[in-house]
Amino acid sequence: MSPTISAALQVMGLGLAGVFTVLILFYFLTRLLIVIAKKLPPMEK
Amino acid sequence: MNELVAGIVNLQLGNFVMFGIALILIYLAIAKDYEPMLLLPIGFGALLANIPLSSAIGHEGFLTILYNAGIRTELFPVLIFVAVGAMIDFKPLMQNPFMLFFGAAAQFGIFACLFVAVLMGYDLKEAASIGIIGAADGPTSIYVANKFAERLLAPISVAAYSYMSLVPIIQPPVIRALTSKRERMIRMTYHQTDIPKIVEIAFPIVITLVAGILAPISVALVGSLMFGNLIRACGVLERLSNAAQNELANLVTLMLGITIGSTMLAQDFLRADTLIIMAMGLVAFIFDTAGGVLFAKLLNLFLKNKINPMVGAAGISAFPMSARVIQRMAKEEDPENFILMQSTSANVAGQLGSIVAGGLLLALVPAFL
Repeated sequence: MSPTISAALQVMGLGLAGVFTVLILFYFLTRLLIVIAKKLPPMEK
Repeated sequence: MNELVAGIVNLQLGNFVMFGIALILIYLAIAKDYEPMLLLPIGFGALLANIPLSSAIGHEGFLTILYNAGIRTELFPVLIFVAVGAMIDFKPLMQNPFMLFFGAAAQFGIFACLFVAVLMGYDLKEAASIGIIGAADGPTSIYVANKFAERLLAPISVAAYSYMSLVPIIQPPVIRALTSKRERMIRMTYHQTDIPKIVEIAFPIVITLVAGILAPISVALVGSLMFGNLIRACGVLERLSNAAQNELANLVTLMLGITIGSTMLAQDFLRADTLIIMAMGLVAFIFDTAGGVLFAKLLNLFLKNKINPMVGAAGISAFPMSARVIQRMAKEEDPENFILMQSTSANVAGQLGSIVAGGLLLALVPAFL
């Protein structure tokens, strides 16, 4: 396998895994923000 | 006398072909309403640049000055992100954060297309620039292509914007090929939840910090988008928010389009590369759609409350077109099926996903060179 194809496969795998990881992280952060916000007193403004 | 006929004498076949392409873009923009805000300026920019001895380009040409100031420096795409950020309402996504998964799955086309491009002989940087067409996000495509393969910027931009406008034509056949009628008729319950204002405000800040720390090279992309969104969400900067959504968006779009058009010079554009890139862009959009749909079907194997797999296809960045296409298709199968909210959430997730994918490409590709 040529080095470029090997590199492309790695970028593909890591890239896709990276997008999933980051968005899963965003998912938990969003849930966490909502949970925390619901425990805080409502904003006056 | 020579100066008077210089334009005519220097006309070549390539100029006429480019005039034809420019006129097609203008026609599509005006008659077919395909991304008119971009395709019309791109078409007219191409006309200006392909007139022999055009004073619009060259060292003192205003289009070259705009290119050097706005594209080469990446200023225009970043400013567009501020404007787009001010236009995005992340609330549908916060109400349905689960849809973030589809914003990730529907980026599959970027990486699949990158791999196909490498197989076709492009180097890794060029392949990444071609693959990013699958982000279905013009500014991200321009930003990445400008960093990695400036010579391919014009065809990549044209492909990105053209296919974004063709989402209603590209997605339905792919979705139908991958789903059964029964799957397309799946109904989804929607739970409306109130999102506290503090979450709307904290969201862009937290996302910027997390994404920026994980991939510092993505700060310009994510940060400008989230800055625009914070202006919108904070509730105290209505004038700035309106300015970003209207004046800034309109002005930068105008300059971005005509400047991109000016890079469509006959000698650079009329090459086999252009046709290949246009074809690869289509491949990327098809793989994006397939990635989202197949991921939803995979999740359905484990979920009690099934997801309509068409919602997965809305995980691309073309907002709100993709969500509307999915809702229309759902209605065709079952007139009482309403999945617009879920599709919109997935579509907003796609906007985040495309930027994250762009940032990851910027970080990963140099590491493998």
